[in-house]
Amino acid sequence: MENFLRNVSGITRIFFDIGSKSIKISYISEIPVTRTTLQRTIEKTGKTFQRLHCIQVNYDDFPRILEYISKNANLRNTFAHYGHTTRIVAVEKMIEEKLGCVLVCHDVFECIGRGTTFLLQNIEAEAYTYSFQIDKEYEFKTLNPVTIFPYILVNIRTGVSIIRVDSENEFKRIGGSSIGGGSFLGLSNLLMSEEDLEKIMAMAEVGDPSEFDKLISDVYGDKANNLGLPGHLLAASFAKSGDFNHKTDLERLSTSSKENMASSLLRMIIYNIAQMAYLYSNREGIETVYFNGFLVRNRPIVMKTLSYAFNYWSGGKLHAFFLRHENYTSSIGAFYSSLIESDDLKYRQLANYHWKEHYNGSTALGRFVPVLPLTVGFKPQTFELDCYEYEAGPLYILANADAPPDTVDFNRDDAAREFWLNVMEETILGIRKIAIESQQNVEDQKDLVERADGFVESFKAQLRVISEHPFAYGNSNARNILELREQILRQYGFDDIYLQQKQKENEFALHELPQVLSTIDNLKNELDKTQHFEYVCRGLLAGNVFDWGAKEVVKMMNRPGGLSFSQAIESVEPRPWLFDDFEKFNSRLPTYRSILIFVDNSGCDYLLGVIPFARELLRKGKRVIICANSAPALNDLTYKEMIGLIKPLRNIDSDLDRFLKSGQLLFTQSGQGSPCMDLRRVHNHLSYTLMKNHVDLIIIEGMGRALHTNFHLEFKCDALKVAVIKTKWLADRLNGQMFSVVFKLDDGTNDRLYAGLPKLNETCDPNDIINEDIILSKM
Amino acid sequence: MGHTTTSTTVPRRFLRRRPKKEKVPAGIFKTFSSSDEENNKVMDELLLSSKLKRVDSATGSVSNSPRALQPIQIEKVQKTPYVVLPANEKFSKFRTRSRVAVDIGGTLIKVVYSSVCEDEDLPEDATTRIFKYDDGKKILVNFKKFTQMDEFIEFLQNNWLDRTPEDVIHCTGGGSYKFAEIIRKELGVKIQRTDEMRSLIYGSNFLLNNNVDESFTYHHDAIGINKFQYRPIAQDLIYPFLLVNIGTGISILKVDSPDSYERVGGSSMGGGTFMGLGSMLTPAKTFDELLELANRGDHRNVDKLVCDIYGGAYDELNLKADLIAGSLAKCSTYGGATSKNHKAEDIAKSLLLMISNNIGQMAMLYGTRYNLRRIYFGGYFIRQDPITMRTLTFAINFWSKGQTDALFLKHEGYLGAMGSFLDEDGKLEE
Repeated sequence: MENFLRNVSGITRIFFDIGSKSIKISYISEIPVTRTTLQRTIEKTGKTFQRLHCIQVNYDDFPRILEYISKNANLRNTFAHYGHTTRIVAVEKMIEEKLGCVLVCHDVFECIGRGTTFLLQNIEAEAYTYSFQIDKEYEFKTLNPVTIFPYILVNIRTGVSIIRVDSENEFKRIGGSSIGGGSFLGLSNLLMSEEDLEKIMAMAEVGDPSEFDKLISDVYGDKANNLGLPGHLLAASFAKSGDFNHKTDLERLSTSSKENMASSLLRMIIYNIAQMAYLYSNREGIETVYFNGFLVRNRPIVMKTLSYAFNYWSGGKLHAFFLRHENYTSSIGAFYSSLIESDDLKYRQLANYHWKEHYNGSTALGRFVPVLPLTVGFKPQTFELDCYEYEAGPLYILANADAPPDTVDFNRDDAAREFWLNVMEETILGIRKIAIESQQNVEDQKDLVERADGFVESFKAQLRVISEHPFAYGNSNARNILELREQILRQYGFDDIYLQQKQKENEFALHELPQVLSTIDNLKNELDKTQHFEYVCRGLLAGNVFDWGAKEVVKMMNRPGGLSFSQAIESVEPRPWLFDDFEKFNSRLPTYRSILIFVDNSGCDYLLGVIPFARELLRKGKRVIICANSAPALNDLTYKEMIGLIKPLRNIDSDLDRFLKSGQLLFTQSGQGSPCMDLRRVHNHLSYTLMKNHVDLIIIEGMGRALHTNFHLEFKCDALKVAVIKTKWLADRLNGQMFSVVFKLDDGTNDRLYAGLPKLNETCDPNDIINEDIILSKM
Repeated sequence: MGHTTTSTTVPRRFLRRRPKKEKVPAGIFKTFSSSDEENNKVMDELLLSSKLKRVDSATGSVSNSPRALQPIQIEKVQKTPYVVLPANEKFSKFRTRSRVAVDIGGTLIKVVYSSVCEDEDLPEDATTRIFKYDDGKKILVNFKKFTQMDEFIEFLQNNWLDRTPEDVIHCTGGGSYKFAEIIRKELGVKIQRTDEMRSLIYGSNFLLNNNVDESFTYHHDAIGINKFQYRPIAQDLIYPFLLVNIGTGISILKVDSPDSYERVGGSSMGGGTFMGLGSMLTPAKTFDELLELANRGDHRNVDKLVCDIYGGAYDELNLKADLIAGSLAKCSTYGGATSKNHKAEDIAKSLLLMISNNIGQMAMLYGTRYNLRRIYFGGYFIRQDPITMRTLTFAINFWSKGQTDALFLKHEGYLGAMGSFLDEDGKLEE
């Protein structure tokens, strides 16, 4: 049972959605955070993070589940929230008795509305359309934090409710229909003596509706073609069974007739719902319409029929949207309601934080591939969400806050997906080795190996899942796969496998730094201004060659003697580069006043590439803000490490010391923990910093951030995308070669970027960001 | 149904003859009585009475019928629906030559034909319009429906005796394509096909214009004849309106003028669905039997009501306890059914409510969409059935929050046939 009822001992709150066939349970668990140490052991941090677990269980198994929870968790005198659809007193009593908690009942539409909103705001690719033409199948609409509202939710339960949602707190039932799931089951029981939804759906899938339905061709004969009406169009549901002999004929129905009947029934009910939904969406002037409820539940035949009909009625303009986790909407809604209605400030704050799908804890696939129906056996589904404790929002300067960052969509690009999955597969054992080494001094060696093997198994399994069903977690792309790997590592207790490696490299790079800086300073006399700046830029590129995330570079670095910085500079291709906007950048440089740099790897990349480059910009009078990831990913520099390097930098170079003191050089964090970067969900502090400092140029460095993601994204201000191509595959894709250079300056879309913004400086001291952040990092 | 018009294969249904024959005097049509309508007292009362309260459809002002004090002598009155055509040049040709129009839908065959008559009461607006020709005769148009193609053919063979090979029969409706060959062959007349939508509009237009008491509203809670209110409308205020034609399926038309109209929507859940599901789930053999069953049933035994789900009214959403939350939802074990022995009456009632509620809601949504306050319901599904009219009225009132009334038409089933009758511009088919 612990396989799906995970982290029960840490449960602090619990939420229910009690249906009549299955019960959805959501609970919040506090999960202790451990940390890898530089001594290659693990230590407890004393901190916890919040994870929301959602499971769906069969009604009959519910008592066993409650029993298990009451044994392993203490929920006495806490509040359990639930969305009430049908009040089943026996179940309510059972919960109260077994868990000893007090039940708090929430309005069902409030729960559905809030749950959907919560999912749409937090889960990547929560909403999708399903193609009624076979070839495309799923099409995912990615996270859109800005334009969620207003939307219409068509909730298909016993009846149909049509709900308009304008915000977290505004929802209104604008209409409904009595023809929904209840009628579907009632009629199929009366007509076909069949009540099992999955069986009915399977019948409908193969059935031919023309046995019972009157089609246009039945009314018009062959002449229908002359009228421009397609003959297969449905004219009247069940109209052919008008002279049916009650009872005797029904009893004598052949299997194929039953299938045909299921098909007619499905079309009748689904078409009607779709038409109603369209008419309401048209009346309200809202084009985003989500369909959910037990009749939909990711059943291909239902989604196909709904999509077709909704598109048809809208004259081909609109597409029906579905939700990946719609079965948990109500229980998540009860959770969200408990958050925003809580008196506990700390708890309420969770509503503002960023939640992410924990892929490995979710049976994402269950809903996309045929699974055993709930009635057949004990087959729970799970879904987990991790709380990232910062307030997230789209980066202020994104031109389109809803645009997905990914350069290549693996759902559409089979070759790219295959390549990536292969590369990931090949790295697994290497990663396992590094993971074990990172904690090799722990006491429990057996556990260490088991955890490492656990990672290997899980990650392999997930890769297989994505290989077979690219849409298993919505969009698949480089960003998601890399993030998946980090998640699984973390799940098995490997929070930062490159920790010691990064430390070693930082030390090495700090040692080299004075030499690099003095070379730059000396060259000032030999080269003219432009040549000199080009050299500095080349240094930035050379730094980026050092990367434990790139297989080919790892080979070079593993050679005896390793890879030296001067070797790296030499390996950068001569100009003109593959994408070469150096002249443009150089000529525009005087116009920039405030520059934000997103950094990539620790060690040489940051210390020998970014720092000397930033130092030149600072010397030219620019304000420079350097932004690093908040959480570890590969050998990427983390914010914490970046702050830790401030002191040594001050000691090494007097200029840097001066810039740091004056606040001309600032540090901040993105909130992210992936080699790729999703600017739709960054730490709000980053946007704040950006606005406060009127940043007019951003520089994005590294393959993950500038090429795999964000390469095509537009920004309101100018954006310089800098990277050295370190994989053969990407080089081929971009028509370049290994170590080709991308140095691409995109024009900003908006000149008056900060016009009309409140003057942030008046309320804050210009230095408070750096001070505040240093304090934070010491905590 | 692989029947093609080029082949002369006769559909099975056509060959199934009924023993009962209807004999009508020879010569030009005489009006006759039909057993079909005998049960339908409400309809007769409506079609033949002018005692109802009148509420002007545009202004809402109430007037009483001038003839309210003179009770109609029921026994003298014709049982077959008809209207008297105004006496004018356009219609005078029907004094010597009958005209027949037929609307063949997905289920029913509706016929409109002219007849000459001497001893009828005049319509009450006879003071303002002329109905009698100089010889004292009047032209009536009569309305008749059939369910079987062979009965229809037989009726015309026996009654349309002045037909010649040069005569035409006005045809409309989907089935007029399918059965063209049979009609031509059996009756020996030419087919003149009129456009389906245009016929529908022409028919509604003519009836609303010429029959003062064509449209009415239904008030379920009133007693007796007060359940009905005429809704006359001034000729210049008729347009625009929404016409919901409920046949086998449903067509929803937005009508801006006799010549400007658009099919804005429709639904596959119409009369055909009611009859189709009804004949599978109840012993009813005919539409009227099914309606009869429905009138005796109690849908609360098979439908899930709001109170079944929420234990009472759902006040936050303003959902009354007796509203239907899920039609037929109690018929599965999922919805709490313990056995399969549901009463046919209850199922019939539930089906009727399900379909008419849905039509009413759909009509209201289309009405809102095109900003049309007047919604007329036509088509043979309604049959002046109290439950149907009550449900449609309820649905329209409910979804419009009392802003709009459902308007019914006396000759609801014959709009297409009537229009086809009037339409001179049909396409002649050899």
